[in-house]
Amino acid sequence: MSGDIPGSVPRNGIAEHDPLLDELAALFDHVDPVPDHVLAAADAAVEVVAAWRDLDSVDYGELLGVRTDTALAGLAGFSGLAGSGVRSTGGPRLVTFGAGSGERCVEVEVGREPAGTLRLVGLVVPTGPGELEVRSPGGAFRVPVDELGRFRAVGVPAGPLSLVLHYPGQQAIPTDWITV
Amino acid sequence: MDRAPQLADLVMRAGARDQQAWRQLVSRFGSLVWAVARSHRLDHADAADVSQTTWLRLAENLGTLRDPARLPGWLATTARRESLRVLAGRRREAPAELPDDIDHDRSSTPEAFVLTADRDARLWRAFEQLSDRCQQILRLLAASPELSYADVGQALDIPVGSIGPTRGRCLQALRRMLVPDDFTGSEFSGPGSAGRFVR
Repeated sequence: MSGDIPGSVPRNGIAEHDPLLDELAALFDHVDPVPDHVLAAADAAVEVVAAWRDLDSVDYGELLGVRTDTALAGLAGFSGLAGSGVRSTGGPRLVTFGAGSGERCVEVEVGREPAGTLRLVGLVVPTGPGELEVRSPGGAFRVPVDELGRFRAVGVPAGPLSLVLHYPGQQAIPTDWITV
Repeated sequence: MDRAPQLADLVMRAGARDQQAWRQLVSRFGSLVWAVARSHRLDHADAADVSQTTWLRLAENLGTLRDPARLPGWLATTARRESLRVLAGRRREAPAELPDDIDHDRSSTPEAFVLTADRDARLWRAFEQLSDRCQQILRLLAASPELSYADVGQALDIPVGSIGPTRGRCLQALRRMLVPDDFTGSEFSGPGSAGRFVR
């Protein structure tokens, strides 16, 4: 049984040390270490984010977080492991971005294209013409937002995704990053 | 060792576009984020996406983190949410498999190499027989000594009070499975042999 080992460094904020956890840590380091390219991508993340903001040369307003995501709905009792038999709600994948109780929000329906890329169809509230920037780690492109607030984007790479609303003369409004 | 002021300082500097501070955060917590994604049985590609989304999200939110000292918990919770998003959205699965050859270039002698490889293989096989919940908790606890029980509870959506007892039960179950059986040819002979595995 585990017990205090004199001089042991507390792990996880508790003093009761169990060397078996250290062995597990070493095991995972051997059999499943974080790949170098994953660390490199993480290293680059802050410059990626900063570079886009510099390019835009506009102020960024408050970030819109994820309000709802139907992919995460109905997860009661879900152990969070692949193969545990999650049932999809059957409807389309809908993600809503918003900020607190603010009225600005972006609704996006995410659909999968045959090539494995994604199609986004959405609505911005309040309405008004502008541009929506679709950001992936590898690049970004813009699509128009019409006077009713509607937009559509195709060929979006699967993976990390973030959107930015651009309206003339206003602050750009980014959403949080999500994995699609 | 109280690393909280260090962490708050790193977060502040990273927010001011100090690339070196950011790299320190990545090198300190990169394997934790990876461990969370992999503990949800995501394959390499999906785990890489979860990792990248998590770090991009941190980059966007550096200025608005409520408590920089709780960064490990923030990263674990974010990585879990993204892992669930991927699971529910894509429903792909890759069972965690034992690699055919485990890299052991740290060992100095051939005998140690063989023993270590075998020990790793047995530890892995025993670990895989644990319940899903045990595997998740132990992987998370092993991945970052800086995660508090509060962080783990928040990251895995389980009550913080249950983590200590669950940790103890899971480690005990793992120990029981590591007791030698037919490997050395000798039968499991009782409680005395369990102590051999505490180095």
